[in-house]
Amino acid sequence: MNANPSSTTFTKPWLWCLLMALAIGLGWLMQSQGMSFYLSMLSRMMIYGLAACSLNLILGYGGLVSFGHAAFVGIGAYTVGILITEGVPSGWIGFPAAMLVSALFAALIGAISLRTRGVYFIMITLAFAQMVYYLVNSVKAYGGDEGLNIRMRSDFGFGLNLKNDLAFYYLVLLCLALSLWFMHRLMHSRFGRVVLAQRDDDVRTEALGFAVYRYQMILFVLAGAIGGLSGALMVNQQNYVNPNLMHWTQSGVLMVMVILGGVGTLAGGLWGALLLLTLEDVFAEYTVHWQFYVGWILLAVVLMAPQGLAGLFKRKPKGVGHG
Amino acid sequence: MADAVLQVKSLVKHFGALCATDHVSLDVRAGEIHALIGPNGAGKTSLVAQLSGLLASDAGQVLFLNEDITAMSAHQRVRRGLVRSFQITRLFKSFTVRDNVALAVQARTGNAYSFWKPVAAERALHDEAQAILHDIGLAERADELAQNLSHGEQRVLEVGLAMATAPKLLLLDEPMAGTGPEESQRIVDLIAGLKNRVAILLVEHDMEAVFRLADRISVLVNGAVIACGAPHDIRHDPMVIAAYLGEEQSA
Amino acid sequence: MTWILFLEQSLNGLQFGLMLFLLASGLTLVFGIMDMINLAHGALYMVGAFLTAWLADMTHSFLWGVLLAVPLTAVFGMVLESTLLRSLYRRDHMSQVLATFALILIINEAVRMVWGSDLALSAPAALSGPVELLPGLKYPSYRLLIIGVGLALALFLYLVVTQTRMGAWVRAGASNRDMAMAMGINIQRLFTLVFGLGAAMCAVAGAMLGPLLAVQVGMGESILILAFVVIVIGGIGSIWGAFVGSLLVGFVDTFGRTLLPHLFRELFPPQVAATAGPAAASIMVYLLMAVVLFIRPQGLFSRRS
Repeated sequence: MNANPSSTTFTKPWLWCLLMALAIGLGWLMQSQGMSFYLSMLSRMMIYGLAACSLNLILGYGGLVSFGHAAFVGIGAYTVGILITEGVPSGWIGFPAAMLVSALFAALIGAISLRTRGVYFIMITLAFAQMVYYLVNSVKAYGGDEGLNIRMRSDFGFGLNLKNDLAFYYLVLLCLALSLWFMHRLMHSRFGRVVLAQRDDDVRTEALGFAVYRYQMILFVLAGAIGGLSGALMVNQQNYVNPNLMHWTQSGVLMVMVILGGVGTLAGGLWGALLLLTLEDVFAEYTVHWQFYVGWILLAVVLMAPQGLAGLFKRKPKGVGHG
Repeated sequence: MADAVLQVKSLVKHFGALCATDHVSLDVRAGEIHALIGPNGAGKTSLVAQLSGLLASDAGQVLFLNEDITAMSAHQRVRRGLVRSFQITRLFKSFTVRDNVALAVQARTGNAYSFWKPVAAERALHDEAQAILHDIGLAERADELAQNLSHGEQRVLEVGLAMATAPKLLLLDEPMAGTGPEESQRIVDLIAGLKNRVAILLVEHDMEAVFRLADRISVLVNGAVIACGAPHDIRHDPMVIAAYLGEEQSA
Repeated sequence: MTWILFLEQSLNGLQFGLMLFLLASGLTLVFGIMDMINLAHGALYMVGAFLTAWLADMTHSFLWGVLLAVPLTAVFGMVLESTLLRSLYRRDHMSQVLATFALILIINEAVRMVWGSDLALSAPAALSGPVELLPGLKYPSYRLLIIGVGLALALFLYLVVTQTRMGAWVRAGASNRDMAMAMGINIQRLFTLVFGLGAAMCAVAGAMLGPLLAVQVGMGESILILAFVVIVIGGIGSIWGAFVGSLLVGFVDTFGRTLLPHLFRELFPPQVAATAGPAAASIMVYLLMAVVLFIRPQGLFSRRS
């Protein structure tokens, strides 16, 4: 009999360690070859990847189709942006604050939205995100619809200068790695099991004695917090934040990344982000109408690869969750 | 006289003009198998939904172990030991058979919200799950995905899942729905084995099984209980025969 | 607020609501019958507007622009449905989101490649002046036309849905698709027609609103959201719900934008009012939806079984 009775697809830790080592090495290599433009590009992709992974937490694992996730990314970004503008540049305050504020909004939005089901849940999360968008849009003090420029990046002390592309790249990599590891532990824990169960059948889960609503709330808040973290990184990367970051179309982009990379896989959001943003950058080199071509590729993916990228490379899943 | 584990007092439920539950009163004693029978449309489904906490009643009271649970939600009732199985199979399709049962065990043991320790490492949990699978005869299928089980095996697992929560009262909603004779027998044996250990309210259409298993039978027709008693008495009750058994015997 | 202003805003609300209805009716049927999330619905509205602007320019006639653009958009919609969208009905909502999102990208860029980012469209010259409805109440005649067209189409839709056989099939399909199919209704063909009709309505809305809201790439996305809000409020699958929901949203949005900033200026200091007023106005519609969902989670007139 199998000594490890878990039915989850076994994550090969050595593979992840290898990837991490490669990423670290790649960064150093790029810096030393004077290709810091690509470093910055990679950082941007990883930040979107983190945002998409946080969405995957509720979408892929939780089975909750939230169409307002970009709001949490934007809230995180604005929290850091506003703090820096108001003279609080410390990253040690800014980043936790971004996660906390996003978590608070997620708690509020989740408390109401999670009482609904199906398409109504989709709509109400979308509505709340739009509300946040319009609210931020109207606050002229912090740029309104023109967005907010920040003069400097977050300051973490210890001589760490985030203006240095490599330093920033490593920060992003660290945040991404920690977040993914956290999500991995989360989904393999008791809590994670209940989340996956309610995705399969929430009525049955409730009928076993679990307060499903509470689990969904906690998951929603955690996803919001990690989304906020990606926002904090994003405003640093661009030295700018704009309310459009929270528009429902941005939530759509995140969702596209998740679907592309593989719904319900740990790093699906990351792969999807890497693919989508690479496609965009590549096509943008040749034509201003790159969206046209990217659109066709997305369409092809949906019609021919129902499980997304991850589905193409993995065997049929053996059980609960993936990766 | 054995104490009543479940007491239903004058439960009422309307759906618009339709009275689905018409002042239903019944009780289930510790260790007994109390069957609930009735023709289609009698209101068995709504009654089960109300008792399990998925549907709110309009009036009446439900007492479980002398505690008023009328206003309690589904998961709160389960925590107190009132557990149901479903007529239409509700399993965790993407989980293995063992993981299905392990989840039920997890619900009543240990930290509910533990988010760091991997579940796979919990030997005790999986050993207990395996033991339960052994009891219900699905031990060899432990590593199979629940969705790959045959219909009959799924019905067995359906009951097994409810049993794994260590209930004080099992509310079995047509456990033999859609099963062939072999699987039906398996489930009958399973339920028979629970007699005297767990109180059971069994909702079923399979008359043979009902008359074999039940200590008492209540008959539900048009939302109301028209008779309640020992199987022998029910079988020969003219009202019951007229309203229900007559159709069944000719069917 | 004076009576005149109130009436004027009411008419504006009615006008906007009716145009929203043209979009929402098609959307609710797609969702209700085929259970499909179609994010590209707004793209049909945009295509209709662009075609109208282009054809109106070529024929030097607003009327001809509309008359030609509407059937063209309907055909475009039907082709889209029978080729691409049909393969999505059986798929899960996520796939539908991805595919229709991709469609938005494709159609937006295609329009931009053909016509550029925007086109000029002006109301017919004959309707550029106001009409005096009541002493003191002057209302733009073009907006009156929009109201007229909107009411006419709503009536037409009502007649089709309630009086024709096709309408009966649509209603059957909206409340229970499988049952309708079991009854022998050719759902596929019916659906292509319904989609075409929906596309035509979108085109009319695009053409009518074009002179007011500007014909530009991306105009579909902003109105699509409101259309979704409408069908959620009204109940998915219900045309009557879409009608009531559209008017509700039209009025709330219009009054919200005019009354609320005014109210805020009365109640709050100017810095607060300048920010909070417009913000509150924008979110009114979403608050409305949240309230409706709270009271009646399935929408006001849901017909889904």
